[in-house]
Amino acid sequence: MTNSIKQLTEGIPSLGSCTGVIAEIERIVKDPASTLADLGEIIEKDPDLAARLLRLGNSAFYGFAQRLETVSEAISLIGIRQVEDLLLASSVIEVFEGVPAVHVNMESFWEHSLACGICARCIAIARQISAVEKFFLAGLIHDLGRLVLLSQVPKKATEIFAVYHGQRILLRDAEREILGFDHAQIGEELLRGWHYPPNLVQAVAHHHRPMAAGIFQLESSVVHVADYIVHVMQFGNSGEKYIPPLNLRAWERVGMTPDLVESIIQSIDEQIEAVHESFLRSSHPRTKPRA
Amino acid sequence: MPKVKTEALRAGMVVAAEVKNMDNMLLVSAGCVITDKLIGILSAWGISDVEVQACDGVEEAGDILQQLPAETLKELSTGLESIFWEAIDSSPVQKEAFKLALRRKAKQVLAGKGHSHDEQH
Repeated sequence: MTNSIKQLTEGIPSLGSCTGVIAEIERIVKDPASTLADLGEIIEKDPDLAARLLRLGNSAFYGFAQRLETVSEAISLIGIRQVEDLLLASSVIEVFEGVPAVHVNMESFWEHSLACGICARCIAIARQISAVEKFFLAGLIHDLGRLVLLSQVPKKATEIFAVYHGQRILLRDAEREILGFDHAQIGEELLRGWHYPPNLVQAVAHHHRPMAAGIFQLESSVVHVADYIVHVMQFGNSGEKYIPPLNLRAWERVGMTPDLVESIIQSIDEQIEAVHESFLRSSHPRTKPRA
Repeated sequence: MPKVKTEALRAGMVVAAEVKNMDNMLLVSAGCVITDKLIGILSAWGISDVEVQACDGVEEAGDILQQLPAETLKELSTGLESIFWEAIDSSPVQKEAFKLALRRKAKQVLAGKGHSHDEQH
């Protein structure tokens, strides 16, 4: 039986508990009488969430000169929209906790995803592109389609990996050979179903072909380049054993230089531990310190 | 005061002028002593260079690749090349990326972490 992309994504539950908090935040933001403290209270209702936000806010991810003591301080410095994107990232991970590690080491998968998120965010900061957390989220979720595949059609996944291990082929091409589509297309369908904004949907859909992303070429190029860098530097692994091809036009579009790559790698090394602790909690304990 | 690229900063240097991020938020005050952690923070914010009070005595670490036995280096290089989908010499960017990755692997080996993170399969 051939599965359609839609059939695959229908089995995925809606986003996790943080979306309730995000809806609450939206409501508060629209209320002209609301204050920053009101927003802080919403997040503080979930002590685990509040602690993770503060941990991230006090880490090298932000590098603030002063220590953040309260959630309200964190919101005021990080920004409401940015906090929402971080909560959304947390929700996504929650949905995919427990995917069986049959073909792909899940700890390594999330390390790759988090590193890609940090890398995309660093590129956005260096290039002074606004809404940097959007890029963190895009990098984090770029390979979600692969988790859909592993969790929804495990038999097909086994077929895909049999083809993949049997010849010199990229994993995404093996996916196309067996299913007729790849994880980027599955990710696109999933995010559409979750009503994600078009720039995020397209960044994920075109992370292998960024120049085909139309008006969202910049977003797709940032994720494409970030994915390439974390593959080259082997931050975790998404299941793909090869370092995938680099689109040089995307590299130029983003304005990458060797100096910038070196400083971004250093930033990933500095930030990955704190980001891992803030987003993955104990479900995928990080056991391999980086060099 | 001389400006030093962020990646060339070394712990112990003293910052000569305050450093702010693109939102004009103060990251480091003048007089602050550079630490490894601080270098990471400056990199994270995309700060390309910093004015320091003294940059004398900055020693470039010798090429890390030369610190490895030739056999180990060859093994690392061959292993890395085999996982690149495109030929290393297909573009200058690819060549540069290969060099950076090799240096990273060399660092891991010298730090006693072996050939970690090589293969997942």
